[in-house]
Amino acid sequence: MSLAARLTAPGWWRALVSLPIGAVVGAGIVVAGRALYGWEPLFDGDAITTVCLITVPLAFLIGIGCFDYWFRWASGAPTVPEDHSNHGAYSWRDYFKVNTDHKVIGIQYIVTTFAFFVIGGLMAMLMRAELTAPGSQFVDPNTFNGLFSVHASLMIFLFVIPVFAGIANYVVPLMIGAPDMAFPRLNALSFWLLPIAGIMMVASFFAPGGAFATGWTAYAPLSTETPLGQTFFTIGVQFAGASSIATALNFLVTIITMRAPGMTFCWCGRSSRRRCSSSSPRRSSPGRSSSCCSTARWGPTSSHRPTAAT
Amino acid sequence: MEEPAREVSRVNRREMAKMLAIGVVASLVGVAVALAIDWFPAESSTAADRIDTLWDIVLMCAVPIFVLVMTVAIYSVVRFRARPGHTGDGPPIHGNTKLEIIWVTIPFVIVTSLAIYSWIVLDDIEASEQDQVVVEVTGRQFAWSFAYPEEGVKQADELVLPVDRQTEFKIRSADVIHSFWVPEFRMKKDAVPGLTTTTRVTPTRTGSWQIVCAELCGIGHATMRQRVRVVRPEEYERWVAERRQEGGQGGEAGGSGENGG
Repeated sequence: MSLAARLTAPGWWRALVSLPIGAVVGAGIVVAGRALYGWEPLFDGDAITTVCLITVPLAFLIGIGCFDYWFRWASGAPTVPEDHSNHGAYSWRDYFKVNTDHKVIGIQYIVTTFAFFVIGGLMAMLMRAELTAPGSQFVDPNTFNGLFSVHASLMIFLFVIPVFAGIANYVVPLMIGAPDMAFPRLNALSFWLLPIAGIMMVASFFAPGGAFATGWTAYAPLSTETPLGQTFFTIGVQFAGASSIATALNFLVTIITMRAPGMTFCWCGRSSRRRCSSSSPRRSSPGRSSSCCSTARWGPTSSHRPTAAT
Repeated sequence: MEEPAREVSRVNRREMAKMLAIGVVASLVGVAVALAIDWFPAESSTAADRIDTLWDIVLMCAVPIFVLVMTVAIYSVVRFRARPGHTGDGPPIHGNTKLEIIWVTIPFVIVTSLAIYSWIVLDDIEASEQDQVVVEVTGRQFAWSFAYPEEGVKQADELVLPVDRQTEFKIRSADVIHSFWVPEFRMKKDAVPGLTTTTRVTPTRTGSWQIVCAELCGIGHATMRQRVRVVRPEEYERWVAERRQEGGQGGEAGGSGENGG
């Protein structure tokens, strides 16, 4: 691909180039605002960092292609017919792009969450190493507080919560017989919000004053009178939360509206024994305790109302 | 009315009986182990006995439920796992609505009962009594300071209490949220800036224990520990008189330091 093509097509090259643009926009907003209000100093590092924590990730998302379709549609340009070219995965590269296939997104989620699980786990190991003996071994109190705060935040906001979203993304459309999720592009955006949140939380270690050291609960007033690292947590959870909320909406709509015909929304199917067994080969081995009503925890089970033809 | 699951063959009944037997035995073992473990430090207040009893009852409800569920799960996974060559789905079983209703209702009843019982215990242990000692506790980064307003002691760095007499703590914070906790007393109360929280304790043994800050308050949170001494009434009166005298002589930092350490 030519350089121009690389930079205009959605992907990592364009995302990389968008990052400084986002930084400039963020800094510009702060400086312009402060100039208009007449506040001194004009170049306030804390304020610029805070706004850039919002604009730079957004620039990244735009660059990597999460918003392409919507921007096109909003601008009134004729829509490109869906050629499903970014659907499914045929090589490892497809997992690093904006992909609307629920199975690919599911795998992206699970791999990302496990990566952050490992990072959080490493922090736990560092904490345990520090605590092997009384007194300070290799971290000062502020860094130790930062370690357990980031560890907890990663584990909760970037593992426990999203890993279910990942598993469900893969499994739920299959279980209800839907071709994909109700909003595949929103699904892709939901995923890409996550690495941003995670990187932001880890990046707080590099903020002046160190990582946020207020725990994952971040109670005020401790968290309101603390150095800049706290902002990384605050905005990080905004991104993680946005991801989670959009995913929840997606699942609700999918499960309510996209079930296969005849599938009722109930926990255990009301199919008659005989009719159900005539549609699946009966296993006579004793003690089999599985059932045609799957262990769906997120949606209805696959019990079918028999049609007249059965 | 839906049909009950009539598919439970005689073989299945035997499996269920085995599961139940293993589950019950394992539960009993689990409960015995849980009750035998020494969970808490020595009981040193009137609240301690009731709290520890509440704990034991919660254990006796929670451990069997956990063990039973795990028994069923592990037994099923091991006993009914797919053998090589079995690729089908298994018999289509409707499920058992009656069973599902039972296993929702029983935990609901258990949890509601525990909630009511807990409420009663927590209400009772902090009931106000006569002849209280009133202590104003102030938490700041990273130490506690105490005042006995009714005794005329304005500031003390150590906490000294008379045994067998209720003390009411009025807890405040000078900066961020702390939490005032003495494990042996089984009492803990947050110190929230802008509020005064109250808790009451009647110590029952003389001795010296640690006051631990139980809410992350910054760099020194781990080191925010002090001593509480419970002493005979005479010694308490003596100590209070000394502090009152020191305070009257204009001594700023009252208290003779951590002599209880």
